[in-house]
Amino acid sequence: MIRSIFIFFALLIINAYSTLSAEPEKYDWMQDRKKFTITAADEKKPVIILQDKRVMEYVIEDFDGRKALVVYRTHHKIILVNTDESIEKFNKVFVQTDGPNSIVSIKARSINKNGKVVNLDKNSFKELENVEGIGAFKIFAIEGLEPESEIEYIYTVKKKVSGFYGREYYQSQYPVWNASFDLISPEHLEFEVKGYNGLPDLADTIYNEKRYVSFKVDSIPAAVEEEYAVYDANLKRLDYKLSYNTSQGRVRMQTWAEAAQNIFNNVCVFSKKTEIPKIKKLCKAQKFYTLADDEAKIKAVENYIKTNFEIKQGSSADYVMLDKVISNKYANETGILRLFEAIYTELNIDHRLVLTSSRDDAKFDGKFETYRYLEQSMLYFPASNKYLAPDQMEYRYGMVPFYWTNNEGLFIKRVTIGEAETSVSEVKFIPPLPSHSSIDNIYATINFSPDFEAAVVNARREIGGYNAVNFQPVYSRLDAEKKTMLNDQLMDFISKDAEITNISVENTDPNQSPIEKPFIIKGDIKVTTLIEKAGNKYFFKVGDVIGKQSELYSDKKRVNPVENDFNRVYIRQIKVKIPQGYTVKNLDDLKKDVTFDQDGKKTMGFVSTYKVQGDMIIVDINEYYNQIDVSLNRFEEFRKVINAAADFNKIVLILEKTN
Amino acid sequence: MRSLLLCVMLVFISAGFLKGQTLSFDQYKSKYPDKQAVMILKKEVVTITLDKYDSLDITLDYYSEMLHLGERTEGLAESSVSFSDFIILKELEAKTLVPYKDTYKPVKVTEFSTRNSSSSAIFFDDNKVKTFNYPGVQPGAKTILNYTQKFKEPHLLVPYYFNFYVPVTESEITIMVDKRVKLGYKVFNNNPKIKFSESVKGNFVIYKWSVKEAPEYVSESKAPSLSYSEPHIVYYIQEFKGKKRSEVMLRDVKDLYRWYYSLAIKNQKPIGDELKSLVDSLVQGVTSEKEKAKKIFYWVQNHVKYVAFEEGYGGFIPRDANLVCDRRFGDCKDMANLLVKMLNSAGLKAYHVWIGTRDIPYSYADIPSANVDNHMIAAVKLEDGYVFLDATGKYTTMDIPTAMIQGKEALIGIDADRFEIVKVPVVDADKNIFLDSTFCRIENKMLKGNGSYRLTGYNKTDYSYIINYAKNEDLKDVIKDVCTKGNNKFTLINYDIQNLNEKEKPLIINYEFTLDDYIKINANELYINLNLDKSFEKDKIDTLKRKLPYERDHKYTKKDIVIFEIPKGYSVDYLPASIHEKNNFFEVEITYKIEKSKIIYNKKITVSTLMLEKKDFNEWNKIVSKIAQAYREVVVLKQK
Repeated sequence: MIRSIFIFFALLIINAYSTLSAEPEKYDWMQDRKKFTITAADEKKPVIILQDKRVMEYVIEDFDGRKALVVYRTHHKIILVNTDESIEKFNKVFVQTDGPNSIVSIKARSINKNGKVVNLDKNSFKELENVEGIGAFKIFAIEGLEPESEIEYIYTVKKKVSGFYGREYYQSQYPVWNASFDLISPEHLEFEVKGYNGLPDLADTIYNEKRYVSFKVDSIPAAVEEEYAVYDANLKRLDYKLSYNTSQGRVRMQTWAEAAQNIFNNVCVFSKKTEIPKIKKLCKAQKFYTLADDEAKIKAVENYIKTNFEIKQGSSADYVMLDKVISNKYANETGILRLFEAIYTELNIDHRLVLTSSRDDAKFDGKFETYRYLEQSMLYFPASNKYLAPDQMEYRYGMVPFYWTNNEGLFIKRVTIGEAETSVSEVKFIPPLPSHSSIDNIYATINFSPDFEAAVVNARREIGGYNAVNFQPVYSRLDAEKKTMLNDQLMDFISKDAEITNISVENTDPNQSPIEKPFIIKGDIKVTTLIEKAGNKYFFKVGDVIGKQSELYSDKKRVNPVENDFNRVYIRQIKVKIPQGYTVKNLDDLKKDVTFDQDGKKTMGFVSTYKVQGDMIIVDINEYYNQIDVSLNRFEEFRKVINAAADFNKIVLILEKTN
Repeated sequence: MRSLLLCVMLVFISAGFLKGQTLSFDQYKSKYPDKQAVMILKKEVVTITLDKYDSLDITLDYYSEMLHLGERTEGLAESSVSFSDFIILKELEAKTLVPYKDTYKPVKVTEFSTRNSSSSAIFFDDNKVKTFNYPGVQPGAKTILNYTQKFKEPHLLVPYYFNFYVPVTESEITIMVDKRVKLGYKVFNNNPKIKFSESVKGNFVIYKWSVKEAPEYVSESKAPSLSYSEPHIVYYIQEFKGKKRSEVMLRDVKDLYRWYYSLAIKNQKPIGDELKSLVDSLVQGVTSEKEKAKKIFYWVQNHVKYVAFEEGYGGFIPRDANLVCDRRFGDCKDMANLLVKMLNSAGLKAYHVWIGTRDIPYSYADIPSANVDNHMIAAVKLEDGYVFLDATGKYTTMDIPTAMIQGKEALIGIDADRFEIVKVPVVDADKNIFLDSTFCRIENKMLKGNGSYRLTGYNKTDYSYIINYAKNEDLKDVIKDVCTKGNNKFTLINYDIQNLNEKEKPLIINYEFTLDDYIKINANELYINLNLDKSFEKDKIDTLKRKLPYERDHKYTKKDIVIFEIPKGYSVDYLPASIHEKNNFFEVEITYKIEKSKIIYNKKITVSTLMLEKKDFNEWNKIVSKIAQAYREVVVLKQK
């Protein structure tokens, strides 16, 4: 997000304290150590992480003749690989560095089940200067591995400090035995460390002018990946941040108010000389001033920017300063945010800057003030109670990425006191969109060919909100071939081998929000595999018409609570024309009613009913999910609704000749 | 009057058809209404000379000019040029001609980022790329790229492809060869539009190939690699005669082999004591040569993992066998070399084998260059002939090659001068059997029963990967996915796997299951579709759209047997008819029989081709239709 703030901090800390820190601690592995004791049950596990020890030590030291704050990061890992496949997963190690000179020490070895040790020669550690634009890596392959071997490596990397906060995930898909974390700093730098999802709280002690915050745990179970749950956000982890520099007194650092002000200074303050005039000129040229009302202005500005500007990666001033941004027509994420901010302020539209986390990564924790939660930015308009995502080119006013909602965030408001501009901030909840914003409705009329060889479905599918945001805004820009591919994908929900003809689409204006007008696609779908037969009886797989539904049939014990991506609704209306001379024997199979509520509100449900009108059977289905979070003790309710839809897939209408 | 008209007409004609005259933006846009960009010119000039030391000096000059037509061509704005220890990048220049009033404003690319080239198969090599972004890309903009590469290893040159990911208006390659150097070349997937000329100018022989209106690459799923269908030239240096010295390079496969031998085999260290005693312990008490080979091959397969370090000649020279054994990892050449050393130590005739995987369409007779192969395996000569041993395939038994080398030419290195080229066999469908036998009955409106899978050949190999790579806790889910039939309300009650680690026995999965919401009951009738497995039902090929052949990993036979217990009190009211359809490469047979109180359903589908050609698509679809039709048949049972 905003990196320049941290250079400011680093200087503050170093100038204030002129003495160099004591030497950083050194770590090594045990030269001749015993292998870990493994039980028969342990042997059945493909991988056990026997040790995951991480140390971060902040040190003030001489760096090219100046004092600098650096951090020494040590990682000492021991992994038991019991199968060939797990050897292949772990035998190649990639360590991210700050370049070849940043590696202070690195060693690796393997110990096989008989105790034979194979150390890695120095020349076997290779350098990669730039991997995928991420940065430099040191890579090596562990030698001598066999099933039941222990992989061990230990390294220390020195990096210049770029931020005074961070996060360490301690849980993964593999069980961990000895996990530990130590954050060491000069005594006057006080870090706070908070554990999440069951990690213990951390104690801090002072020893020999150094401050230690540590934890040690001897067992962390493997994380369970489940459908309808977030993964990273549920992992055991810790977040840390610098809270006090006691050499400066007892003023709390990195508070929400301070973060808000820093962000405000970076995003909401413009040069009266170079930027404001260009903004005014732009607003005049685009006739923003004369639009009817605030909402019209908000939309017009957003449409203009998102159609004409491009977001590029890079930190040069050209990507941030609005005079350059306006003439180049591109900016980085901060630049785009500043552009929006400048124009809405110029147009006097009341709004807030909102910073939050992506809840699949970590839920925003208002009680732990760290920049780590301030990674996504939005604008909020109190008059309409709506949000806007400036750097998401496909989204439009009223809709922001769903992982940013159902989450708290930091709301920043501009306050003018005389000539001075400053900010006030508060933590507030960002509500999710209601289910009717994200529809995926199907209206189908079905006729059978005379010999029951095929079912011809005249279908209309309406896809809106989050269901459509991945393709509706870009649809008009696709070339003919890609449009056809996408159309087929949207219409082959009944069967992948269906013949799809007469396709037409509506609502493809990229400036229209998917929550305002859904994407509509119509066409004829001819399927031969929907009708089974036995002599003069026909079996129509009406359940397949709504498309393959997800299921939760497995009775495995649920570990995580349910967290839906977004609220949604599915309306299906299926009209089946029964051929003359035939009757349907089992219409009642079409009835289903599985609904739940909480505190008087409907939370989720699947309801299907039918009626007969002449030779038409009309089936109406309403499936809805109105709650993002479903607690673990209500998991069965959620499961029943999902499975009601999946069960509908199995419904087969039996058609018999009427005698 | 008439002559004036003629004059005017001629002027118009010549203006429109001037050689090399490009069209205007609007003309390109209407010619390619659906394309995001078109490459106006793509040109390579390769210069091959001898320097003052009579060493080969090979440079390649590349030039391309792309006209952007569409609104959002950000994807095409990113570009990269690769280089390595063998291919040095001498010069690199890129710029955008941004449309400005009636002309263009050139904007140079100033930021080039050097990155390591990443590939999932290779752990570490010297391949790098210089990546960059063209600035100001928009409709009407032209992006221009030119660079010069120097080829340090004259045996390794890069083929020229005429086409590209967007249409190319003019595509050409010129190879200027010093008269003292003899060039070899072959055009693959040639077509009459490609013009060729050979001329002499001063000290050079100039070869030129050019084509106008080259279409974009055709890329389809499950199609063989582009080199099978896209026109391209592979060129190589046969030999040269300098002032002071001459050298033979690649006149024929003999020369290629000698170069390979000198690189890869000649300087290999002999087997050390530790490795020797390992071999001795493996073959102790074994008398048959075949069994000895098996022990050694399976040991390498099981104990040596694939990790590829390919810097420079590391891509061609196997590492010392003793080192590979200690490390317990290596790439294909390392494993091949280790095998050869170990087998020889056990007294067997074993040899290094260069081979191309099925991705490569060339044979050694086509071109004597390293482009023909990309893999190395071992071969052992037994009583019945050569047996090919590819240790990179973890689960293949000794009697079948890895699927990716079936039908390919193996260049077997006998000694410094002698080699043999032998074709690797294609494994027949009846060796790759996928059999599922299910015994089931109805209980509480559910279908219940047990089944048994029996997998042989590549089916066993494929499923060995699937089962072994499942995370331990997910193994039941994986087995459930394997066994699921009927519908997704299939519940796996329990299972047991046999012979997973016994390479030569078929893989057996026994399972117990229930299937809910599958049978239908109405009044006194019961309906059950015994086609529990619906393979191939939706595998029709779109003959209007698909242009390229359809490739399969291997031939195979799928057998499904369902033995259904007729519930007490019911009798069969309707039994579907049996079907049998076949052609040269595809066969299906489904039969229904009643035996006492059971219905026996027997299905056999055989696919006996690796490559389905376009001309056979209709035949294929005919049988798929018959299969789909048969799958719609339901058995009707009536209460007596």
